[in-house]
Amino acid sequence: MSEKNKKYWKSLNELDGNVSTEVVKDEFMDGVTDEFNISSMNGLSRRKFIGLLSASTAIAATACSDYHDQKEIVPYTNRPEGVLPGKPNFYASTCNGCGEACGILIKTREGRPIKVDGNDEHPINKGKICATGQSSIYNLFDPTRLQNPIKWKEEIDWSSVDSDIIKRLDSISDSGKKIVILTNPINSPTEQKVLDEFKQRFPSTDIQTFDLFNNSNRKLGWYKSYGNADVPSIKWDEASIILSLEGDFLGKEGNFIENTRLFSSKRDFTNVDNFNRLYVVEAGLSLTGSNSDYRLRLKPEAQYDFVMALLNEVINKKGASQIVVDSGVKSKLSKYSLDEIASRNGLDSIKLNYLVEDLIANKGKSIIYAGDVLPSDVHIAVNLLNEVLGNSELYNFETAYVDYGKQLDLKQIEEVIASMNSGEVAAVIHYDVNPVFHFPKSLQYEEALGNVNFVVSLVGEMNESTSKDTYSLPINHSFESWGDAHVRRNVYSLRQPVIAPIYNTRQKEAILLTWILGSPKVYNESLYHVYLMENCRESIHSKKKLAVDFNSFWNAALHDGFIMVDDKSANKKPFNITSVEVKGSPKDHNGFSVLLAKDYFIGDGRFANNGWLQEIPHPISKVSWDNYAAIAPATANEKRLENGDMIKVTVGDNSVELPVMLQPGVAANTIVIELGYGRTVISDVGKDVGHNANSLLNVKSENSRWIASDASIEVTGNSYEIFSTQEHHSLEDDFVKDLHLSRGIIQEASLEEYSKNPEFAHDKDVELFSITGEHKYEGEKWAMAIDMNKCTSCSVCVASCNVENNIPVVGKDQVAVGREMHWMRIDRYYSGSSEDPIVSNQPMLCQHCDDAPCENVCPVNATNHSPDGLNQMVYNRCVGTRYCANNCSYKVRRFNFYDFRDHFEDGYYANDVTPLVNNPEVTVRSRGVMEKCTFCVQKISEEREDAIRDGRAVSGDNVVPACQQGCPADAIVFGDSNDPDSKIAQYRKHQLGYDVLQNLNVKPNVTYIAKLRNIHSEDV
Amino acid sequence: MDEKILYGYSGLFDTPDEIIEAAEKVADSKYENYDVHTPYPVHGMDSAMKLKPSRLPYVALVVGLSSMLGMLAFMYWITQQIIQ
Amino acid sequence: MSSDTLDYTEEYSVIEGKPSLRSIDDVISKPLDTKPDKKYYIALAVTLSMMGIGGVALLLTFYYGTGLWGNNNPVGWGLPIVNFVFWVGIGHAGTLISAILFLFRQKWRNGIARFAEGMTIFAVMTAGIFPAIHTGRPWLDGYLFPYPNQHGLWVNFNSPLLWDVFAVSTYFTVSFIFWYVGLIPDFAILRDRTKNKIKKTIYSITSLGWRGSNRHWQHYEMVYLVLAGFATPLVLSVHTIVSFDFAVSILPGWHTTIFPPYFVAGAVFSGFAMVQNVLIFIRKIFNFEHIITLDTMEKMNKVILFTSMLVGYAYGMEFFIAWYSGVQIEQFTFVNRALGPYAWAYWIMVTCNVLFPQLFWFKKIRRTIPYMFIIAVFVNVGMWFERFVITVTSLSRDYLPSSWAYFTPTITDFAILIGSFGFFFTFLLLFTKTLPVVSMAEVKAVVDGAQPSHEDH
Repeated sequence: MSEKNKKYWKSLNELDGNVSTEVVKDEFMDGVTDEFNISSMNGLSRRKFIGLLSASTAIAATACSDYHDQKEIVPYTNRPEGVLPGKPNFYASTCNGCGEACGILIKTREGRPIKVDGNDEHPINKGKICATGQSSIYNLFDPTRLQNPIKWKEEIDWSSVDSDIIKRLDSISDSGKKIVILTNPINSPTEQKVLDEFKQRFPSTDIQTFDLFNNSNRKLGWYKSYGNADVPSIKWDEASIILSLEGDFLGKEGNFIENTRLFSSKRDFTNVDNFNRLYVVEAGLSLTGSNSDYRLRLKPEAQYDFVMALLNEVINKKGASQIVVDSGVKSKLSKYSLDEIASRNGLDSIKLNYLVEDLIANKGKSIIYAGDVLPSDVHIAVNLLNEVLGNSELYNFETAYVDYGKQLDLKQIEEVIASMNSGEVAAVIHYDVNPVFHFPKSLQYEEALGNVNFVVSLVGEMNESTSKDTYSLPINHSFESWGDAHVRRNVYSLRQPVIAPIYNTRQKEAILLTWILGSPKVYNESLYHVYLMENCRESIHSKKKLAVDFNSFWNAALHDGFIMVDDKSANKKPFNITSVEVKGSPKDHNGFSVLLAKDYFIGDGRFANNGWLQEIPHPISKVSWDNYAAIAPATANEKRLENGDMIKVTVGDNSVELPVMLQPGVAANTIVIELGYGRTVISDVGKDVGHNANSLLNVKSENSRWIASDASIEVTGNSYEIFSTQEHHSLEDDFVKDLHLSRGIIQEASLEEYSKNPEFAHDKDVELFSITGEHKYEGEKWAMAIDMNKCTSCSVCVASCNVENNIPVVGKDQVAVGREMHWMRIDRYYSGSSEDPIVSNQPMLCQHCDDAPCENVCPVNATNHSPDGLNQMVYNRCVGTRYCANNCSYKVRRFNFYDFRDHFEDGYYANDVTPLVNNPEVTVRSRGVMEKCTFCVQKISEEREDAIRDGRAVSGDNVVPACQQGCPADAIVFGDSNDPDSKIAQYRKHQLGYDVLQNLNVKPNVTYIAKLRNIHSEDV
Repeated sequence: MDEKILYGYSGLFDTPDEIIEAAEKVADSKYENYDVHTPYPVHGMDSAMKLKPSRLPYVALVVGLSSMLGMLAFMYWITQQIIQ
Repeated sequence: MSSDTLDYTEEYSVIEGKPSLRSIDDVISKPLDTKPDKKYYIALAVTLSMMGIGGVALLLTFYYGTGLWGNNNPVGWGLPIVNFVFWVGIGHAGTLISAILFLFRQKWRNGIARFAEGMTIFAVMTAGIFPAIHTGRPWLDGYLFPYPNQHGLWVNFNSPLLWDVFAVSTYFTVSFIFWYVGLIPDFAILRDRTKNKIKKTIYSITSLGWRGSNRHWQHYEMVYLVLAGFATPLVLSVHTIVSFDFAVSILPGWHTTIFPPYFVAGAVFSGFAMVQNVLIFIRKIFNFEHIITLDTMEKMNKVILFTSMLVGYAYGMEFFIAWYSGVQIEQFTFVNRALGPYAWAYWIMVTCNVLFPQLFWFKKIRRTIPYMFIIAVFVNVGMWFERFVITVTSLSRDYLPSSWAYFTPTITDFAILIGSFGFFFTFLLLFTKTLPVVSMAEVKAVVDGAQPSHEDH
């Protein structure tokens, strides 16, 4: 039967059909249903009521729930190979911050780079990188990067960009007009190859290299002296006497990370006989100068006279000379007498005598180093001096610098500009450079650009030079790029991407390749990747004649991040004495001289948009977010100048206005200015930070563009506020003078004093007793030791800490009111006179005191002590009374006065991209809570987890806090002080180890190793 | 006569001396249910009325001491909680 | 009466003339019976707008964060804590007058006790605001109270800040009860006077059925005595504990054993000055000259003079101990106070607190209203600066010279300070119009001839 007339029955009776309808009608008994009337009932049924009730409760609950905004959490439905959620992966790569191409290890979590550190195996930088490299990750997640190709300020897609550009380049090269490519020096062989191919493809191309700071003078000097440009690196670790002339080799010159490591290795307090002695002769107080044992102030242009006089002195000392110096030179040299030079330039003759004695006494074990800024003839003289003293032993040709081509000097730049104006040049390609910012205004490069009707810029973000662009093309961050570098003879290092391009960018080599290959279609993600592999196969693998096939070789190389190449071609040639031409006779240098120096952190300005770098205080002046004209206090008095007064500095046709900063230790009548500041076309963070002094580059001079001896300054009457993280007070004010010494904050002595009184660091100690029972620390007890003999105050630890611990950038306005958030800071103290200051540095961080004064004053127990000796902050519990900070005798606690992630005058922090830089292991602190150094507790827990998993005891050696990891001098030691044979235990026991403010009996767990100065006893 | 009649007397006085004297007299003649109303406490009235000293201080003492001890114990307990 | 003819056996009068009981009631409850005049409303408008300024500043602070204040890294405590200590100090005179002087049987305090207590309560309320708002996350202030919770988290009884929480709240509670108990007989009087229905009901409730029976008086006086006994140690303990906030720390300039007595003296000093300032107006406006007599004012000035010298002694002693201890950092801190960047504040403090009050040695000045008023104003300014000097100078230059920094208050800081004054005076104004500012019962008790003549004790 069909579904339609299917019949349902409720009872057998019904089925039978004999159903009494009445019964159906009165289903219920009488009276039950009489009053029952739906319409009369309350519309709100019980079910409905409960429904509403629960709904409203739910709404109330959600309304009152957690006030942080909840983001969607996406799990790995199928996990990518090799990615374990919560476990970081490390990729070896090559840093692109400067030309030195240090090997780096990039730490990624779930495919997101979060930390950069040195590659331990890398032969040059041995696991360390500079502050800039550490912080470069901030630029990767910079929301203001150029995100799409731009044509005439309009976004456009890549394929049309390529096709159009290829067309125009072809037509230009057919017409024979010039295509100028401006680029930074290329340290990558493969990239160089690409450029060469570009030149073949478009023959009229001319590739010009420029870098605001470079070592051309050194190279030229070397070339003249030895006939080749294989400038060797220096074995600092074998030099017992170092004389540095205006050379900041510990701060910013050459691979200063390597230099610092080698230098500090001869500052080992367990082997004091092996201490080196550092003499520095310089105009500005550089980081190297601040670490010197003896320092002489000398105007930069007087360096030539000085070296000549030194030469003369050394040669005349009987039997001093290791090589034959012909009489001609000798006679000429005789015009330069050291005493005369000393008196002319007011040099301390006692120190000079020490210097000469030391140099002669340590033939072959000393080194004289001239700074990059000094003209080539000084370098030649220095080379000769080293030869004379037989110091060429300390040249290291194995790791000599690879010579990658000439660079434009300002003269040549003028020619290029002239050709642009004359219309010879039809196209200019800015290959990741910013010439408008770097070239002095008087060269009028920007105007010249106007005369070129086809300008293409390959840039990471819009800059001063993109204003006249036809096309502005976004390029990858180096973490998104493939690449290689060959900077040192023996190392060929590789760069690999650790994250897919975040924006619609391409890597610059691939862009050129696409144009070379002449069709937009050829582009794909791995275009350059393949090209790179091919080149590596030819240039490296084939030469090496290895048993392994290329792919496994390539993968191994990528894993290591570099390939060792044995290249013996560089070696020492005989010194060409004729290269030394001795100028008439020493001159007086009465003019006002300007010395231009590189900034310690933001380089030539390309890192100006990096808040972390802008905020790291200057290693000496502690100024952040600014540059300034450093001037000697005495000179300032003559000119009636105060901190922050604006002056107009004029060099040649260019003049620049910038604020004065009284810097003890600067040579008289000299101002030192750091470049890289004053960017105008850049996004929020770097915009108008500091003043652009690039125009002061000395266009006229043949010798050195960074030195001007004929400068003039005038007081404008305006003033400007410079803010430093450390109050300055005059060194003459006896009330506040040398407090760091009298309070026992800094303990230091000469080696001689040390040998006389090994316990000097504890002379001031008081006997401590406690009226309460001491807590017993079973198991681990974490502690740190900082060796002030090794520390050079390079601030890498600060940068490393910032990245590891999500330290917010607070901006200039907050630094101004003393609210910087750095957990790790480096205190700088001056003693001595304001002319000849003695600088003492001290890294300061939470001391994790056993009897921490902060803990017992917190009303809510938000800060307390862990069983393994950590002083902990419980952010969730913190109410923000700030009592702990008041009671902290080391003032290392930092308070979130605002939510610094959205309060940041110079750049809005809370966007979608920037937070990606945060380390997921570390809480991001909210407004109103106190924070401070945790001894990188996340790393301690990591080690604990591993130990538990491997079923072994926790070992302090496996815990490496960010600061220790970063420190290029190995000045920081961390570990379990309860483990008797650990390094930290040894350090803490050592007689040189002292506690800052020991008499407070707070029992800090950071031990400082007293600084020993390698100076003669008489002048202590 | 078997039904009791309740008598009440009231007097108005101008000076404290008079009212004290009156009170003393009444007290001496063994009256119990009487009272003295003054706009302010008149010294010596308590003795004049032969009133027993108030027992309030003892109550205060007991309550005060016990709550003090209670609080001390509480603090001690909490501090123990924190220490371990 | 002049002090040279002072006869200690004689019960001299503290109320001038011999006002009848009725006239006392009339004069004291006049402000309550009459409608407020224009001047009153103007005054109220001023204080309310001051309060408004503070309110806005607070809202901004809650929205943006404590960064709006001048506080920075070494100087974690700025104006809010200074104001807190200042106001708690103001809150001291009241209880001192009503409780301690009561125990000392100082009859002259009867005229001013009620008003002083009122001020105490409002001052402590004002002070109470600051600990609450100075935290970085005020919405979590609840954490400061020991309540059982699922985390098993408790407060830290080692922290002076926590002692503060309890000390101040206890002090407030006791002062309030003390004040109310004092009010009961007066409520009864008002109840009996008023014809207004609503007032009558309110007064009937608040007067707790007071009939003025001597059996009431007997217990009443006992309660009052016990409460006075309670309040007396509190007067000393509160500021002692406030001083612990500083004294218990290890900061040079804070870590000082002299602080408790020094703070209490200072508190009484500033408290009396404030009471004196305000009373000068009250007695004029409401014609209480015969109740709050010039003698009374003079006595207060004597107290001010005395405490001023106590404070001066403390200033001197701090320096002596710093020198005597031989602790270099300690010595530096104090020299730095007098000669360092905050010398200006230090010398304002010394001049206002130690030098000016010395003028009270002259009877003429002690008994001339304008002079005493000006001096008392100076005292209040000086005492505010004392708290500023203590809090800020010590923090701004402590152990490590590297982290020294100068502290500059911001507009927001000052707005909040102004607001606190507005808050305080608003309550004071309301008080004068809603409650008897002088205790009628207590005054009656000390009018000449109010007590039996053959009194023998």
